[in-house]
Amino acid sequence: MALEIDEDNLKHGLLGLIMALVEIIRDALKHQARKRMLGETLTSEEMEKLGNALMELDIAIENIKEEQGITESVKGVRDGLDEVVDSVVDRLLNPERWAEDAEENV
Amino acid sequence: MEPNRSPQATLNDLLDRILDKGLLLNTDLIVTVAGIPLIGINLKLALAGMETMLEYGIMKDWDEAQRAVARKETERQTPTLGNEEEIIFSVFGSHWYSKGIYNNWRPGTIYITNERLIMFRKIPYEVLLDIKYEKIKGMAIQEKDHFINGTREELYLVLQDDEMVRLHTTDVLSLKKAMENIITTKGISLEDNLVFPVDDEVLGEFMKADEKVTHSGKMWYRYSYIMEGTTHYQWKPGQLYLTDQRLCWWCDFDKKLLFEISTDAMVHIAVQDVQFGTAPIEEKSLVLLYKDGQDNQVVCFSDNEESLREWEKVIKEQIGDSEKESEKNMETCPICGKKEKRETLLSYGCSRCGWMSHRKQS
Repeated sequence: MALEIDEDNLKHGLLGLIMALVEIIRDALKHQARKRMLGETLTSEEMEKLGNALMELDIAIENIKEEQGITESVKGVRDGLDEVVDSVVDRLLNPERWAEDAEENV
Repeated sequence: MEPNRSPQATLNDLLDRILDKGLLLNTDLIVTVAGIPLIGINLKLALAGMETMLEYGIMKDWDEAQRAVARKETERQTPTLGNEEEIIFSVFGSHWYSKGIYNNWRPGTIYITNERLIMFRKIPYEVLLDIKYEKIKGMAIQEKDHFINGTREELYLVLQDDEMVRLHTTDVLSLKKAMENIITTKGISLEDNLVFPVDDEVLGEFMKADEKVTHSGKMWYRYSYIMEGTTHYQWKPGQLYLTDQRLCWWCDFDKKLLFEISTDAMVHIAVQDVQFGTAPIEEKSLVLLYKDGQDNQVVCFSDNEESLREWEKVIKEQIGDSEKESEKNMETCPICGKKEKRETLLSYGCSRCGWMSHRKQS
């Protein structure tokens, strides 16, 4: 359960981690934006502005990733984070794993 | 890129789930050392996507208020421009608007684009001026009287149809330079030595043909009006004129005479401290006592002290003159000795004892 950050190239590692977090936040915001748009409280004008803002954010993030050549490392970090979450969720939701853990620790 | 799908839970799945469902935490916590509570924590936390929040009725007002603020902020911030038009210079300023009954300096933002001069106000949205450079015949900076702080520089534009536009900003010169730069690059030549219509014609509007102005000047006038049973005062800028017949005050903004009395009606003049507005600050003012029918009325004018003193002197002389005049016209009633004007005494009799001239009686 460890995040691997490339030690040889700190730029790739650190910038990749930061961009990965930014992307995760962006994805969460996008999801909430979708929900708000379905929620019928927003006017069409507001929806358009929200959509445009998110699109601009997408473009900006893609540009930064390309400029810095960190597309791959960002993806690597995200996969790493996803794996961590997956294993934690897996352990929390499946009681069998607790038994396995207990046996291992004995 | 290959499409793939794994049943794996991702970090975003987790976040989305938390935000969609909402997270509520209500915790009381104390930290104790050796059985003695030292730190207390009372934690109330609600974390959810806004849509979920609204569903439970939390932060509903805030949501609406926030969106209202955003709407207001994004109200049109700049004037609508043509396709190849761009703003080169912009500055806050005002222009003189005088149409119909409305005369005033209207504030707004002056934009110099590569095609025209636009002046525009954000709230309420209005394009105040829209002048293509081709229409401008000439321009010049002129020193003009202003109702505060003496004089100021104004930019005068004369258009093809001889219409005049008066603009003012804190830095008129750079506005003029910016416009001249564009106009020369566009190859338009301006006329030099333009004759600007002078707007001192005000005088002719209310002066009688045989009337002569003996003294005039910029002066503030304390205008009084009654609202809801109490008297309110308001200082208005304008011009005070003393002629050989009248003392009258011309209001710059309303473009009319708000005060007018005959020179005979003036009784007493003095420079006194008068309270300005509602603030308890007293400023030197010109206080004039005059006769309005049977009553005495008081009127206040103000400006810098120098000109107040001058006016005081001029009006004092005027009052002195008319007093001497009226001295000559005075007669004494032969019965009771009351002093009265010759004409009144002769034609209407004495107001105290009722004596009548013999010529009238017969």
